[in-house]
Parts: sequence; C-alpha cells; structure tokens
Amino acid sequence: MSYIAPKDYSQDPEIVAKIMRTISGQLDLSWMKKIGERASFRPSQPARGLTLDDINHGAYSPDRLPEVVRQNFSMAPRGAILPEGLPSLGYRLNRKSDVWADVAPQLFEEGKSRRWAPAHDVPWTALAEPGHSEEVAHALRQLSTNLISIGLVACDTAALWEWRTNQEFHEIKYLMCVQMYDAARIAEAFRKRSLAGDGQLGVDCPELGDFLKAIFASDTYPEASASMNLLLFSWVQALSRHLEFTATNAADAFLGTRLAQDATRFIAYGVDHIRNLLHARPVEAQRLDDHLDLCENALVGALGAPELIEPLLILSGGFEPVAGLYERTVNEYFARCSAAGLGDRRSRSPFPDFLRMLRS
Amino acid sequence: MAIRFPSVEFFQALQQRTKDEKARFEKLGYCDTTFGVRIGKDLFTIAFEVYECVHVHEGGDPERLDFVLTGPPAVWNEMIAAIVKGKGADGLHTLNTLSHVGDVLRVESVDAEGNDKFYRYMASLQEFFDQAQHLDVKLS
Amino acid sequence: MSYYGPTDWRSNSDLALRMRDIRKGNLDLGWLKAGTEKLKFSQENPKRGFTYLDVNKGSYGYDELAEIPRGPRGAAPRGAAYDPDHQADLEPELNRKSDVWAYKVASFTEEAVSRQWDATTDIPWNDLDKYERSEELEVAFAQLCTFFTEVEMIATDLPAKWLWRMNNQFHEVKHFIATQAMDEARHAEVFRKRVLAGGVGLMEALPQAEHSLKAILDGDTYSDASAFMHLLAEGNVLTMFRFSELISPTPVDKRIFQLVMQDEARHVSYGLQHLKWTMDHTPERKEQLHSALDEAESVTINQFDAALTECMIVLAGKGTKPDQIAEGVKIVGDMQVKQMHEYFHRLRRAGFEDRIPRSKFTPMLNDLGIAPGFIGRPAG
Repeated sequence: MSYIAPKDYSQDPEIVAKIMRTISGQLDLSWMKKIGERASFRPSQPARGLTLDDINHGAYSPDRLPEVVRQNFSMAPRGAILPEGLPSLGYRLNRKSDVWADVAPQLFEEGKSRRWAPAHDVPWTALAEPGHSEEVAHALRQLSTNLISIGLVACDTAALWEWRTNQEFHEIKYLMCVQMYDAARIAEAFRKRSLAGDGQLGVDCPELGDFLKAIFASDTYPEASASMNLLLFSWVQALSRHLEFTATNAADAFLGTRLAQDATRFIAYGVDHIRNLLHARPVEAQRLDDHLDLCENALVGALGAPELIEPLLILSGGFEPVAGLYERTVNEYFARCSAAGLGDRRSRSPFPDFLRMLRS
Repeated sequence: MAIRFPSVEFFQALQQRTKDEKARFEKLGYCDTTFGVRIGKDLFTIAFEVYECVHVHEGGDPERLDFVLTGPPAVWNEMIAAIVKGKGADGLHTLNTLSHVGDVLRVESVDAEGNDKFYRYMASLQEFFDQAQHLDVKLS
Repeated sequence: MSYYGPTDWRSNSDLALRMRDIRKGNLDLGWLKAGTEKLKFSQENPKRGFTYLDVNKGSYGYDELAEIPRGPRGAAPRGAAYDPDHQADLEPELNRKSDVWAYKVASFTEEAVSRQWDATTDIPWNDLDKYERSEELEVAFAQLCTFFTEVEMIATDLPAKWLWRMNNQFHEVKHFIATQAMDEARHAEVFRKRVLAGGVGLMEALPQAEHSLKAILDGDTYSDASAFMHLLAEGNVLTMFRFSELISPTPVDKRIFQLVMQDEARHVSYGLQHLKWTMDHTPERKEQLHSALDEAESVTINQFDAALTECMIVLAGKGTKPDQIAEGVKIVGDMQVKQMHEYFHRLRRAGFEDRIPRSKFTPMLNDLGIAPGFIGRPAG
C-alpha cells in the first residue's frame, strides 16, 4: 500500500546540485512565465465576502468541467497548469454527475456562515430547570443517544467518499468536509445533551444501527448520497423540528432549531445532486430506487423500534402526534424524491404499508 | 408611535431592526430567502439577503416565493403578543411550533426546496420576528 | 459491500404486533432500564462552556477508555448500553486506542470548534486594491499560493481516509479529524481565493510536491501517515506560514497567514501528541515509524523544487535583481534550516529523539555545510 519513491532522494546527487545552484543565487525563474488564466475577482456583494461563486468564472469555473475527468487525478487545483509527471492519487469519483450539485458552493458558504459551537452557544444552564418530567428527561436522553449514533455514522459516510473524490470537484469535497464537521457536531451536541446535569446515555438501537450501516455500506456514492442526504436527513430534520416543538427550555429549543438547519443543508445537496445525476444519466434511477427500497425497509425497522418510537411517544404526550409526525415526514420525503427526479416512490416504498400498520 | 400589526410598516420596522442588530444577525449567518407572510387575506413579501432583511412590500406572487407562512389573524396576533410580552417567542409561539402540528400556521410552497429554506434559515427568521419585542405594536 | 440488515420489515409480524400494542398504550420501555451509569456533569468553566473535558467521567470518559475497547464495533456511543450480539458491525479497522489517540485530543477538538474562521468574510478582500503590488512579487506570491492550495487538501483527504475506519469509541479523535478536514478545506479555499483575487491566476502544479502527497496518502498505517503528515509535512508548512506572514506583500496576506498558522499549529500539536502517545504506550512501533519516516524524509527532500523555493526567494528578497536574490536566498535558507530544527525539536518532545541521528536530513545538511549547531544530540 505504501508509496515507495523511485529514488532515495537523500542520496541523489542531482538534488544536492540543484540546492547548491539555488543557494548560489542561480535561479531558473522560468516558472514566472507559467501563468494560467488571469483573474482578479472581488466580492460581488461586499457584505457577503468573496464566495466560491465569485471566483468560479472562466477557466476556474466548474461549468468548464467535462462529465468525465481524464486529465487530472492529482491534487493539482482546477485551472492550474498541469505539467508532466503528476502522479495519480487514486481518486475513484471522476464523473461530474457522480457528485455534482450546482447548489454545493452556496451550501458550503452557508454551512460556514451558519456555524455554531455546542460548548458555548447552547444555553446549557437552561437545563437546570428543564421544565419537564423525569420520564421526559429519560426520553430525551434516549433520543439523544440515537442522534449521537446518527451523527457518528453520517460523519463516517461523508469521510468515506470525500477522499475518493477527484480534486477537480473541490467544491463538493469542501461541502463533504462541512458535512463531516456538521455530523460530528450532531454527535457532540447530543452526547452533551444526554449527559448534561444528572446525565446518562441510553440504549443502542440495533435497528437504527442496521439502517445506518445500510447507508454506510452503500456500493456507490450516489446511493450513499440518496440514502443519507435524502432519506436519513429527511427524518433527522423532522425529528429536530419535533424536538423544538416539544422543547420546554431554551437549550432543547436551540438544539432543535440548529439541528433542523444543519439537516436541511444535507437534504438540499441531496436533492440537487440526485436531480443532476438523473438528468445526466437517467439509467441510474433504477439502481437508486432499488437501494432506497431496501434502505427505507431498514428505516421502517428503526422507526418502529422501542428505542426510537417510545421516547417519541413520551416526549409528545401520546400516539397521535407521533403518527402525525411520521405521516408528514413520509410525505415531505416523497416530495423531495420527486423533486430529485425519482418520480413518485409511493407505490414501491415500504413506508405507506408501515403507516397503514401504524393506524389500522 | 404605535405600529399596527399587521401592516407593511410593521415589517419595515422589523427590517430596520435587522440593521440595528447587525451583529446578532451576522452571528446567525447567511440568510438568503424571499418568503411570504400571509395573515388572513393579507400577504406580505419579505426578502432577506446575506444577513439582513433587504426588502418588504405588501402583496407578491406566492409562486415566486420560497415559501409562504400562512395563518389566520388570531394566530399571528397571539404570536406577536407573546413575543412582545415575553421579550421573544416562548416555546408555544415559535414559528416552528406553530407550523409543526395541525393547521395553526402552514408552510406553503411550490416546491420542496423552497419549503426547506424555512428550516435552513429558521433561527434567523425567528430572530426577525422576535425583534417585535423592541417595537410599540398595536394589534388589529 | 452493501448491507441491508437481517430483517425484511415489510413482512414482519412482530412489528405489526408491536404497533398494535403501542396504539393500546402497552409500551416495552426496556430502554428505560438502560442500566448505564448516572453521573453529574457540569461546566467546570462557564466561560469555556460545556466541553468534552467536562464529560470525561466514568464509563463516558476517555481516561478510562481501554487500549482495546472490546465489544462495540458499530454506532453505539461510548457508554451507551448495547447488545454485542445485535449490533450492526461497521467493521472498524482501528480498534486500539494507541492506533489513533493523542494526549489532549479533547482539548484540541474544543479549541478547533471554538477557533473556526471563515475565508469568505474574515479576510478583507477588497483591501487588496489599497496596496500597490509589483507584477513580479504578485507572480511569486501566486506561485506560493498555488502550492498551498494544491497541498492543503492532503490534510483533508488523509484524515478522511482513516476517519471512517476508526472505532466509534474514539469519537474525540474522529471529531478532531473532522475539524482538521474543515480547517484544511478552508486553507485550500483561502489560497485559491487569494490567487484568483491577485490579478495573476493559478500557476503550474508541482510534481515533486504531488509525489509527497501520494506518499502521505498511501501510508501503511494511520500512525505512519500521521507522522509524515502532521509532524513532518504540516510542521514544514507551519514554518512556511510563519515565514510567509513575514514576507507577505500586503496586510491582507498577513491576515491570511495569521489565521492559517493557528490551525496548522493545532494539527501539528495533535500529530506530536499522537506520536508521543505511541512512543509511551507502544514503543514496539518505533522501527516501523523509522521506516516510514525514512521514506517520508526522502520524498520531502525531493520537494526542493525550483518553483517553490525560488518564489519564496523572490518574495523574501522582494525582487529578482541579484542583490535581492542574495537577500532572499539567505532568508529562505534560514527558514529551511528552521524547518529541520523544528522537526527535530518535535521528535524530541514526542520521545522519538533517536530518529534524529537516523534522519535523512542530517547527512544532507552536513553535505551542504550547514551549521551543525541545531543538529540533534546522538542517541544514548
């Protein structure tokens, strides 16, 4: 696995000779003439700063990217002059439609701009008088435990594909870094939530673990994106809205709102990515549908697991709010799938049957 | 002088608050959405760009808005009253709470992505409405 | 690779029965009897907020985390109750604490989260127009920024490559790595923005640097790759950032380097502390690390690339006239000696002092007649 260089450069007289020439002031300076397309970009909106959209013009624009990258498998930045001898770093995602979403640069900028730090931005002292019963406190700790698992695996999944993505798609790589960061923050925030005060963690939910592994073990990046960004984070967003809705103190309200905003960025990328992919390669729809069929099946197990549904019931004060939450979320998810170009998934998804099971 | 709610003057006053409380809105980050607030039959269009509210007007085309928060006047009045009294929305009167269950406030949109902008920028939108605590508001 | 779980829930009668029970109000509630440790957690320092250090207690903490946390291999958070026979195995490859751990890693993580900055808004880009910059210096600066935007992403790709292979029981380390990925994406971003704001544009990529990046990425183990990347490569880059702040053409550029160097220093510190942990807890890995650093140092020597060194000389000397070049050579030479010195210093602090006499840099510096004063003391 390790890369062994073609020479032991410490023994290479050429290197020493090069160094001696430079030390003596004999500079080559031919590099000064190797300039790519000239650029002098400035912020188009001063208050916003210099964004990726501001610098994505001309030779530096992602619009110039071909669908299939053939010329660069190194870390040479897009738009740089590519000399001979650049090695391949082994990137596996080399088709634009495998990863691209036009909204990615904007989401990257927004992810940075709307950052928050759990340690000091969450009003933790509000938990001193939480405003809810001990039973609800247990329920929140269990839900927090589930959210920690989600954060951990979402971070793993983003990382798993980031390092395989060609550097020509650097906006996507940057966004994946934001996803890693945001997901790690979910795990951090909800670990702290579960432990704050008289704290303890709950029980690992095996069905949730199966569902998360289904995402993590996706065979392709588009499958991982659809199952994580579209499916998983539709539910995370819904859960976070519900957390805010049921919150009885400022800390939980804060966590619910921030989680909702972060989760929605995952969704926004997922919708645009899949839509872009299916526009370029409609043939991929079948594969994605098959994968989602199976991931949704795994998620049904988690949604019905005692470790997930029961704390929701306690938090919500009964069955109706939770059934309503599930129904609304399924509808919103299907709307997103449709927006992503997957059409109406209702007839093949296991969700409608599950909702009927819930009600009948 | 008291500002009537709902009115375009009310939303213009909130717009000014996003400039007056620049640091607060900047800390929350970019907010880029043009949305509607429908109070009964009255529709107001509110545009946010970068960190602040840049434009408010009465009316608008819902098809061209990211989303429209729709509700009866009584609900909106109750929300604003709670914000003024509590110096910010309490748990029962946040935008998310009121739109989460039932048809108290509805989030209407032409497409799923527009709808999702409500959640992406919710903290900023809540802060926007919470600024009503600094106004002398007269409810209709 | 794909996995979909052991149960087809579409046709699972247990699920149907459970939903029926739930509608009747008969809940399982087994999760309420988790049996996990209940402890009091609070903010030791409210100014710092509620940190990982505050939750470092009992079975939730990292101090008591075993070298091999047997059992959990899935998404179960550390300290949660779990059933080892019913956890979806995420098949982590790094399951020993010494594979990944570093002293003070929780502090580094909290610091990283606290000190995030934004390349879009924290650099006064419009101020570039206030400062006169010669074409010569701007070209040299563009070459330097091209190099930085090229290499910074290795410190995203390499951590990302290993993060998902780490057992989730080491979440503080995984979180640190996520912050490093974010930091380095920001570095690649800021240097790309700077080079495209300066009136020149991206220059030529550097094959010698790329071969180093490949060697980092292809490291046999996380510790090998970390020693190369965090300690050696990022250590060198940190010195270059400090140097670049000094020779920056404008105050805007100084600001860039002030911000990137704080992140880089944190990454180097993690690498040093990981190496120290390794030396303290698994000294048997020394030979492997020596072997990895033999190759790493060799590849690093090959990074003495005309374009990179020369652009720094032009910037340091403020031009290409002979006297300016002479001045630039002196300054850059001092910087490169400092890079070695600081690398050796870190090796000492990590308890890996016997690397110094074995280092590939040592004979090379002797051959170049560079003053030996900084060279490490012989082992033993």
